[in-house]
Formats: sequence, C-alpha cells, structure tokens
Amino acid sequence: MTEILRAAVGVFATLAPFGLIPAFLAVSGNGREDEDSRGRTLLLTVITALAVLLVAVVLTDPFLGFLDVSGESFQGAAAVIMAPLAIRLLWSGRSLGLSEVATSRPWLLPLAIPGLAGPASLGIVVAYSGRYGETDAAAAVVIAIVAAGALLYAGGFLQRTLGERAIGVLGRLSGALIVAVAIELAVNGVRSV
Amino acid sequence: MIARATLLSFGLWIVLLVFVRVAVIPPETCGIESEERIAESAVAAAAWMTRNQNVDGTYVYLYYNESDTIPNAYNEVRHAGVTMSLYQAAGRLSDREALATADDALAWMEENLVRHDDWAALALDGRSNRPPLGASALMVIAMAERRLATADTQYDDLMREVGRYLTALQRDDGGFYVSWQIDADAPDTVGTSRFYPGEALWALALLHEAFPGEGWDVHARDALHFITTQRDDVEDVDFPPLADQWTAYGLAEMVEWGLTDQQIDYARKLAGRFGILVRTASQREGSWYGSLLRGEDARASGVGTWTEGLAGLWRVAAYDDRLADIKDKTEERLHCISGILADRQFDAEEAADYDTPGLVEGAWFHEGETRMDDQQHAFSGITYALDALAEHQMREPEETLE
Repeated sequence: MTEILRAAVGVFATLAPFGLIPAFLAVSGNGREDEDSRGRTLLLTVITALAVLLVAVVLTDPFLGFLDVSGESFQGAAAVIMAPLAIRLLWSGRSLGLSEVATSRPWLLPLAIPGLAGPASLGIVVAYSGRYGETDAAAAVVIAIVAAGALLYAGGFLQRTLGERAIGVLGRLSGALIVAVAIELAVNGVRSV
Repeated sequence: MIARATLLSFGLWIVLLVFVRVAVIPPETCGIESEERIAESAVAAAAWMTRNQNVDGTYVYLYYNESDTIPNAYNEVRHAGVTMSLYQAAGRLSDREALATADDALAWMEENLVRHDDWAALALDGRSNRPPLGASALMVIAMAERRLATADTQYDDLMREVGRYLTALQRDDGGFYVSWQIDADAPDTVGTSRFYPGEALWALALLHEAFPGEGWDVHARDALHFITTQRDDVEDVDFPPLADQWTAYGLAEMVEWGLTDQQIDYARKLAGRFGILVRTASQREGSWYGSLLRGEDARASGVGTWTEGLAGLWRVAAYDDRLADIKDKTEERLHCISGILADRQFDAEEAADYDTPGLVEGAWFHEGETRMDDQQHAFSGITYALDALAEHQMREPEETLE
C-alpha cells in the first residue's frame, strides 16, 4: 500500500493539475453557471487520460523490450523527460498556455493529451510500472487521476477563492515537486540492480 | 484543428525523446544467451590457466598477442587469486588437471612463505620484509577452496598459520594494516588498500566455516563491520560503496550467520553498484553510439569482478528475505554480463590466427594484452553466475574430488 501511495504521489506530480487549471477553465469556463459543461469536459479529459496512462502501464514490458532497455535504466530517461514540464511550471506556473487550447476538441488535445497524459506522466508511469509492477502502477494511476480530476473540477472555486496568483504559485510548486520526483527517480535508477 | 503551439510542443518533445534515446538509454545487449555456451567459456578459461603454468608453479602473468611476447613481471596476490579459481574449477567442473596445476601453484606459495612469530605470510623475494595482506588472504581462500573441492585436510594447519597473519594485522576497529614490517617488528601504519579488507574478510569467514569454534568468526564480523561502516570513507571512495567483489563473497559466506539490517542495506547498495556497471557495459555493447558515450570496454578482470560480486550478492538475496526483491533482477544481470564475457572471449578459431594459439584461446584481451587475472575473475564470475541461474545456492561442490 505504501508503494502504491508513493507511486501515486509521483504520478500526481507529473499530472500537475494546478498548472492545468487556467487552461481547463479557459475551455470550460470558471463560473458557477458553467458547472455542467465543466463536468462534461472534465469527464472526457480524465477518462481519456486514464485510458492512455493505463495502456502505457500494460505496454511497459513490450515497450522496454522494443527499446532493449531495462526498467532501471529507463528511470533515468523518465527523469530527463520530466525536465521540460518542470521548467515550464517553475517558469510560468502553467503546464499549458492558453493559446494551446484553441482546438476543435480541447478535452482531447491538449487537455487529456498532453495536458494530463503527456511525456512526463507517460514516462513516470512506464518507470513505475517497471519498478513496482503493473498492478501497483495501475492503482497509482487511478488514484492520481481521480485526485487530479477533483482538483480540476474545483479549479473554478479555487481560482475564485484563492485568486489567479495563488493558483500560479501552486503551479510553480508543482514544478518543484516534479524536480524532486525526477531526482528520486534518477537516483533510484542509478542505485537499482 | 490543432493549435500551432501544440504542434511546436510535439516537435520539441520528439527532439528531446531522440536525445534521451541516444544519450541516456542506448539499447542494452547481452552477448551470448545460451547458458551452455557460457559454461563452455568458463571451461576454456580454466584451460587457459591450466595450460599456461610455468615449470616452477607460477603462471604466465602477462601476454601481448600482437607481438607474441611475455613481459617479465609477476604479482603474488594475483598468483594466489588464479590458484583460488583453479581450485574452484576443480570443485565445480571436477577438473583434475586444474587441481594438479593449482597444487603446483600452492607448492610455489609454500616456498615463498615468510614465517614470523606464530604466523606465516606469502611474499615475493623483493617484498619479503613487508608481506602484503592480500596475498596471504587469497592464499587462505585458495586453500579453503581446495578443502571444499577435495575434503582433504592436509593444509589445515597451514590455513590456520597464514590466517594468523590476517588477525595479526587486524586493527581494533576491524580494519587491517596492509603489511607487517618484519625488520621493525611492527605493522605498516601508513599504507592502506581498498581491496585487502574484503579479501581478508572472506578469508576469515572461510576459516570459520572450515574450523568453527576457533574464534575466526569474531574477526570476520569485526572486518565486516569496518567495511560496511568505515572503509569507503577511509579509502575516500568517490561513488560508494566500492565495487568490491571480495566483500560480496564475504557477505555470501556470512549470510547464514545472520547479518544486521545495516549490513543488508550495504549489500543492497553494493548490488546496485554492480548492477549499474553491468547495465552500462551492456549499453556499450548495444550500439556504436553506446560505446561512444559510455567509453571503452573494461578489461575482463574488471567485468569478471562485477560478475563475481553480483553472484555473491545473489546468494545473499536467495538466503535472506530482506533482499528477496532483488534476486530476479540480479539473475538477469548475471545472465547478461556472463553472456557479454563469453562473447568477448577468444575462441580456438580466433586463436589460430596468432603465433601462439595456446596463449590466446580461452583468454580475454584488452588492447592486445591479457593478464592472468582476466581469466581468473572471468572464470569465477561466470561459474558462480551459472550457479545462480541454476538456483544452486550452496557454494561448495555437490561431490568432492577423490
């Protein structure tokens, strides 16, 4: 159980929901009157991202086999892949720019992919799947996605209550958390057999 | 419609992923897969050591295949190490020729013993005033391997006598002085060695296994405590723990006595150290850019020690549940690295192209040079790796040689 929770924290960090709140609200609105549309957008976003991440869990072994790479070595790669997201969050507090959401199906592109299921979260899911096993990694993904979904749903309320600036600070803190998770991942990759 | 910014972002990601693939995770390739062929490699290595013994009991120390020359150099620590491996070959492969060769090498060691107080120590002529700890430790291990392979007890008193040199050099903190200065009748308090403590540890553990109740285990436990708590600091190891296969052998011997949590933690870190060395070696094999980024191949003596170390730690993991989680991964790495070793070894066909094929076949060359411990460490590593792959937990042979 401890390992599932530890993995869930790592996955949650790379989903970076605080950094996604501005883009999500830009798509679905942030007023009380937008709750229905927000719920629909969120459901589609979360289900799509969950499906993509669970497929990544299931495909970990064949994927690593295709690359001819051990799970331990991949952890170092995952840590590097997480760097751009961490830098972006630390810099702007956002994982997606508002100009990126002007698409015909924003719940899919860019909110679900790469907003939630992006290279960083896919990388960590593959790394954790190799490290903790598929079942634990899948459980961690479900917990993290549910938590991220809840935060996105509460995004309008949070923004109204705390203000945009506070959301930005929380987004930047998410970047710092990703750095910590990436370092732990890289160190574990070096120390593992 | 996809926003231009999103497309740009995807493009940058692809560039990053290509960089990661090339620089961080080149493909890992493990050479020969067949365990049968890997076992043949061990046999060929043992044959090289047996074939290339001189009439006085020493071995061919160095050989350059391009110039077909044997330089005039020797080292008694490595002599004892090669003899140890030959006794392992006698026990593991029922190789009587290896036994006879090792016995001749043991006779050479007996001729080169220095006796003082109640102990005996192995030293070459030029170093007889300061016999190195490592040579005597490996001589004890060689005799212990002989005892395991043959159940012959004729060297028991000599084992104890040389063993007393190790305890004479042990400090209060469990560490060791590197030699005794006979003319000053005092230990060398200045010199240090990274690997002698591990060699002495394993020798003391084997002495306890051979002669329980004589107190050797107290010295072994003190040595293990020193190694796992202080050695890496004392020796200023940049990336601890030191990749020391002798400590791994010692841990494997002592796991049945009961290890502390701290020692198990050290064993885990040591397995990780060997593990990343193996993974890096396999990435070097996997692609041309792998070798470019990961540097040159290590020589077989180095690769062999990683294999020996992992094989020793596999025994710890197989016995102690606290390390059960690394057992399967350790087996994977052992299979991989022994396959790499087998792949790099010169076979009979390649050896035929050289002036003296008998000095080439079964050997590993690094920049045209082979040293006897290349064969020693590669042989021992492969032999115990195959034990691990066969889930053979006990180190001694199932049957002894008559």
